[in-house]
Amino acid sequence: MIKIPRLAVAAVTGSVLLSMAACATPSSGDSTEPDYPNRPITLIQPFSAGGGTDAIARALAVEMEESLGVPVNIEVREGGGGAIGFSAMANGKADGYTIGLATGEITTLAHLGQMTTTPDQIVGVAQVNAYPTAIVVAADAPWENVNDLIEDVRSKPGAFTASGGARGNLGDLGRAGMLDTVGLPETAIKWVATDGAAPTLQEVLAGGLDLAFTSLPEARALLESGDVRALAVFAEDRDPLRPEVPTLKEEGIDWASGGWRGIVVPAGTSEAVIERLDAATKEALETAKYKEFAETTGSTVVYRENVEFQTFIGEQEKLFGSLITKLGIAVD
Amino acid sequence: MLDHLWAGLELIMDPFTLLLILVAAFYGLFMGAVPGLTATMATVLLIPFTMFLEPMQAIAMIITLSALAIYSGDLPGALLKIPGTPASAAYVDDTYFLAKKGHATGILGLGLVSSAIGGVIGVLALMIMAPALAGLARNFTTYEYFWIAVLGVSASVFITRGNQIKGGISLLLGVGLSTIGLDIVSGYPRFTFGADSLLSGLNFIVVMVGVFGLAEVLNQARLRKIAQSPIPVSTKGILRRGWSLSLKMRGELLKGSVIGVGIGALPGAGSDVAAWVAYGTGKAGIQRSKRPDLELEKIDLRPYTSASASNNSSLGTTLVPAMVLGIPGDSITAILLGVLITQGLLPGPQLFHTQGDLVAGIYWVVLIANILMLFCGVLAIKAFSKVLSIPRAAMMAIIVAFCLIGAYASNNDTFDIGVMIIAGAIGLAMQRSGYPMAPLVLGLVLGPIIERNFMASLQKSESLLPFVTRPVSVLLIVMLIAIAVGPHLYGWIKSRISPVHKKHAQNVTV
Repeated sequence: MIKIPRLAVAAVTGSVLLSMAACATPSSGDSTEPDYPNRPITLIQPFSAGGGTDAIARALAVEMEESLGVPVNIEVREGGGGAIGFSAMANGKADGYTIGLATGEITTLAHLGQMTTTPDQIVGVAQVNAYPTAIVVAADAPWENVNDLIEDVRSKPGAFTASGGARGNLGDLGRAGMLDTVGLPETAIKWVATDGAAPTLQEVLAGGLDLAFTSLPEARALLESGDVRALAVFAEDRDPLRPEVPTLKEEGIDWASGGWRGIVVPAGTSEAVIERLDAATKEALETAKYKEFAETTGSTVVYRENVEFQTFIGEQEKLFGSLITKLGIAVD
Repeated sequence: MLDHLWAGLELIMDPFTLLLILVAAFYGLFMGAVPGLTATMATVLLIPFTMFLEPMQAIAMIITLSALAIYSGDLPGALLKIPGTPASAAYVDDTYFLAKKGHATGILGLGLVSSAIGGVIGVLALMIMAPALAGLARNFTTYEYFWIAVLGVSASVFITRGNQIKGGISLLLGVGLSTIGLDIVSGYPRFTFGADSLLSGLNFIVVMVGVFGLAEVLNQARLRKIAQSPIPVSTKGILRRGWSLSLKMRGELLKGSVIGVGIGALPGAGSDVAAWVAYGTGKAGIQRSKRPDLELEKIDLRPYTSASASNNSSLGTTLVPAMVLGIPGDSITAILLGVLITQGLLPGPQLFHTQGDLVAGIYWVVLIANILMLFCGVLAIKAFSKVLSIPRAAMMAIIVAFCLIGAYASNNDTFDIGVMIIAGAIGLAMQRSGYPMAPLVLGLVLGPIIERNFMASLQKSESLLPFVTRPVSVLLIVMLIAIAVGPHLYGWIKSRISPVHKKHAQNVTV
């Protein structure tokens, strides 16, 4: 009989001490909920462990822990080209303790009919990077630049093959968008479905495919060794780490698309929590350690604060939504 | 080259690095030996830790732990009939049967020594031929990947003991189950019944834990044989016995290692396919020449030896496509590649020039890991045999707990627990009707590789012709035919020439 109250007293004292300790941790901005965050945060990462998204999630988590003062644990929820992880992010409790590192695919999967979760079930907190699509060819390919390629495609529609992943992935949509911009049908360059950038590049090297639609960091090793060349990158500006590759717009083709990554939370999360997380993300991106990580991995930091990021997600969704409808590749 | 080798050795011969290698070895052994936990999962858990290490130390830990985890996956296979990897599923029937008959020491010793020798041959191949092996990958397109996967699945049917029709049915069931999930060609979700968790298909680890682990527990519960005495294992003289046995089969060892080296160098094929193909060719070999002195309880040890050597020899060369081309073949090399890149080391042919010391260091690590495997392996067998002295009933409960944890941990999804339980029930039903389980697992692993490469090939050429006209394809088809009909043809010819077969004299003692 005596032991139980003692335990209760100890528990109460303990939790009081703990919450005092939590309050004592410096928190930036008093507009946030007074004690957020006071326990570990789970960061959902939707692709396979050890991949590019995973590496960024882990590097970011280490820095965000510093700023938030609580552990940020990575939870890998891979599968369905991101659909499983995105659904887990959207269905988490909107209390700021379940956050996610979303990728560009979150704007396409629902339109493709491959995910029941829609982008309005999440709120963008902060964008962390961007990896525009690029056209990569074998070193001995006959084309000097992207206009050579387009001309060749125009005279021999359907003669060349390309990949970069599954049907309807960002590379495929980038290809379709580029062809549409120059007035060619989607079928002018044949899309071959593969498992992603690695097998695509292997095929391009072995002569099995003509073109790879992947990001520049994914092809980095082969670009450095001179085994492959990049004809153009689908970005607004040239990649600072690869300034020799022209943008599609510079070459006179008005199209830009590609992937991005950013921190998101379930819809309904309070403004204060979002602001706190945005600030922590921004701080993390600005640390010397993260900058070094971004440079060595070739992942260019592109930061958008939450309102701007939210608008960007909406625009991307509209862009890809109309493209997917036009192509008629959605599953009903 | 020699300079690099010395400098590489110096990189490794740092007390802290050696300590990390030792820690990684025991960690890998543990993770591999627990049913449901895998080398990949062990590597994933290590990633945050590697960020604080020097590149060489991080790489050394990952390589060592994966080598040891892949070996120790054989232990629960032999002693509990729960293979740790799809590769060890190739010979789980042989090893479990022999262990039950009281030959656990001999069979585990043989496996340990042949794995280590295979591993060392793999390193030598890596040292001498890394750039040439990278060239191999450059000649492989979707047509060749298709054939190599077909070779793998065909081997699984061919090696089925007893009824090969049942083996074939089991394989087709596995291939059928592999079609669940998102079809990458059309983007259409197949057989998902609206469940998001099925979009990525069935996880083969989860299914494997169910059809082998849970099914075996259910089977023993049904037979009420739970009181049966534990499998006796003694580690006394295990290496010596393993060594003398494997010396007798040096031809098989070499063959298995060459297969492992070749298949390991192809991104995406890896040690699983290598083990099955090696087992299949080994099996084809024994039809040709009976060697009663290499038999144990009427089971020829050569296919097992060959497969054990091959999955470890492939480990060295799986690094080739990652290091030379920057193209990772499986999740472990993908993680390793990630670590290399985060440490500022760019994979590619130039890595061998600019980071020659580091590359030589990697060779040494693979070598050390394989030697360490011999000694740590003996300790692991010893520890594992202690586990087996736990009362059988309690053991079964513990296995069920590990099956549940393993299924959940594979993707932090409770849905997978349900998949594992259903797989267990199906596994039990199949076991009772005499269907082998291993082809099902391989079908699940290789089904998508076959389908995707077949579809990609058709999309590229819109014709079936390149499947049979490309030189490497033709070579693979010839191998396929040789494995499938070779032994029968040989047996037929032989029976025409000398109808009298000499009966074997004595069995080998282990």
